[in-house]
Amino acid sequence: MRASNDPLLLERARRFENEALAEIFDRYNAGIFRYAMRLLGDTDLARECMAETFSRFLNALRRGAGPSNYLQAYLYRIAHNWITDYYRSKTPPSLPLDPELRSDPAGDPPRVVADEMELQQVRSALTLLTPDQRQVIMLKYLEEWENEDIARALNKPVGAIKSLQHRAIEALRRLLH
Amino acid sequence: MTPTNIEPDEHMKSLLNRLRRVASLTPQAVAEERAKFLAQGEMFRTTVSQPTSRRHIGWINTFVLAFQRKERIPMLNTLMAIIITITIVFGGAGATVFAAQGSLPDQPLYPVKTWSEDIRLSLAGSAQGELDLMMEFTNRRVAEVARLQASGKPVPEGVAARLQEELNTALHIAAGMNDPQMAQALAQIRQQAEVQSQIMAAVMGAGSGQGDPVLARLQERLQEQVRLAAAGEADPQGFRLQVRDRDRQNRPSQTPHPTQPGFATHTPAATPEPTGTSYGPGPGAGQPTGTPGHYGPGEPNPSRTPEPTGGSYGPGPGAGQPSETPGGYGPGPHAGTATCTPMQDGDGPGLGPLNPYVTPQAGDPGGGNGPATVTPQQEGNGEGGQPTENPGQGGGRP
Repeated sequence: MRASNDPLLLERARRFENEALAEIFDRYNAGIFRYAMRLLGDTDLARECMAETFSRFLNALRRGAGPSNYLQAYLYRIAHNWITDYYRSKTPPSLPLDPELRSDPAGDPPRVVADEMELQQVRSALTLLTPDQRQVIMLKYLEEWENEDIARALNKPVGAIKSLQHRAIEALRRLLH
Repeated sequence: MTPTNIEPDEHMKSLLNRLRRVASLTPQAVAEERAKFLAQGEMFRTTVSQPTSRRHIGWINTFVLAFQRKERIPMLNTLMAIIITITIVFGGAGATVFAAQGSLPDQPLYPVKTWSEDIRLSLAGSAQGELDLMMEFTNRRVAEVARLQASGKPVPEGVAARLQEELNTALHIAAGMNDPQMAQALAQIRQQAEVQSQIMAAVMGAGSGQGDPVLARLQERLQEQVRLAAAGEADPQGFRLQVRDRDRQNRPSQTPHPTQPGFATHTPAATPEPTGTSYGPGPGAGQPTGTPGHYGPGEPNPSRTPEPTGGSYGPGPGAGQPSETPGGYGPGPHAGTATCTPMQDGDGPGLGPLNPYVTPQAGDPGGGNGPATVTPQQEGNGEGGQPTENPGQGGGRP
């Protein structure tokens, strides 16, 4: 998945044109929410993260800052920073089981519980990675971004992304085994 | 080095794949967030104030972003702490030193001022630089004296001593230059000392300065500085000898007390340090300069009478020509009677650099003031210099 590169859209967004802002929101809100949901595992937190991401984007435009290119990488960076700040500020509470899964009449309750525990284990392992390592894992293996796009999101060269990826996998392997 | 195997294994992939399946936000929630986002954009579009970039304060944001990092780097934080600490300490110290430059001797920052002057002097790269600094410092001292007197405060002894030391140092620096440079430096010293003497006279003429012994002593020293510089301009070689001799005489005591026009200053309370170097009578046939005051007798030490010793204070044979001028160079004739009898300027040869560091022994020929020659090469050659018509009794300095 290639990150978006739309300077013209950003130029219109700097003038706070309603259509441009709506297009940006419609294009990226689902991805940002999904990204936050995978890391946070909580719908309300993920929604808050998404809303804050778009709000910070508007504030950056108002200050004359913000991206001149690669909007998608910029938005994911904001979301990632928000999540990182959240992890730092408080210990994530123990999450309840997903209501949909619990209410699935066809599901196997022990299996559901085991799956949820595994999910929790993966999220906990991810929180123990460094922020950059966590973002590389998320963007590379869950969002399926190319290294070049990840490099833009992290403001690092591609070579550094590969090294980060290697260290992140090694660290995650140690945490999960 | 680029890692070769950077792909997760199958187990890790399966675990990560479990994260793929996440609940989506409901359409209603998406609509609500969309409406909020567009409303915020609408508010920004209609806002009255201009964007920051158009208010020419965007540079602040640039400055802030330069120090913002997503990831905490402990080493960077430590480094920043060190830099900030150094900035505070040295910046504060610099501000203190700057503030101290206008302080007076009765103020707490005055030691900082003198300390900074010492540092500046030690960092001077050339003799001319040192001389310029020393003359600046003497001007400061005179100004401090004037300000203290204007405010009705007494001049501390330390300030007077420092001024005298700086005046001496200026002469010493000038003596270390070559002839053309020294002539220029001495002219500079003389002119400045004249001005400072005038200022001191004005200060002494003021109400609180009248009769102040410290001011009187400083005025006398400034006038002496004028005379010495003028003499040095006329006779550079003699000036260097005078300065060297003055250094020797000042060695036992750090607080010279110039009571004679010449350099034969003497501190009665000074205790000579033994060095084992003696200045015996010189054999030289050099000619006396006949300049009054040069190598003249110093004040006697009323508190100390050295015993006669052998070898140290013997008279020279007096092979030279007698000088018409009292206070010239010649041996003392009183062998074995080297008592420090007070003598007056002109009483005898009073050949300046009597070694104060050797204790005379009984039986020694005494009295004569050894080198008694004009040129350094002749000094201390053992056979006296130029006897005068009025040979004195012993040196001016014990």
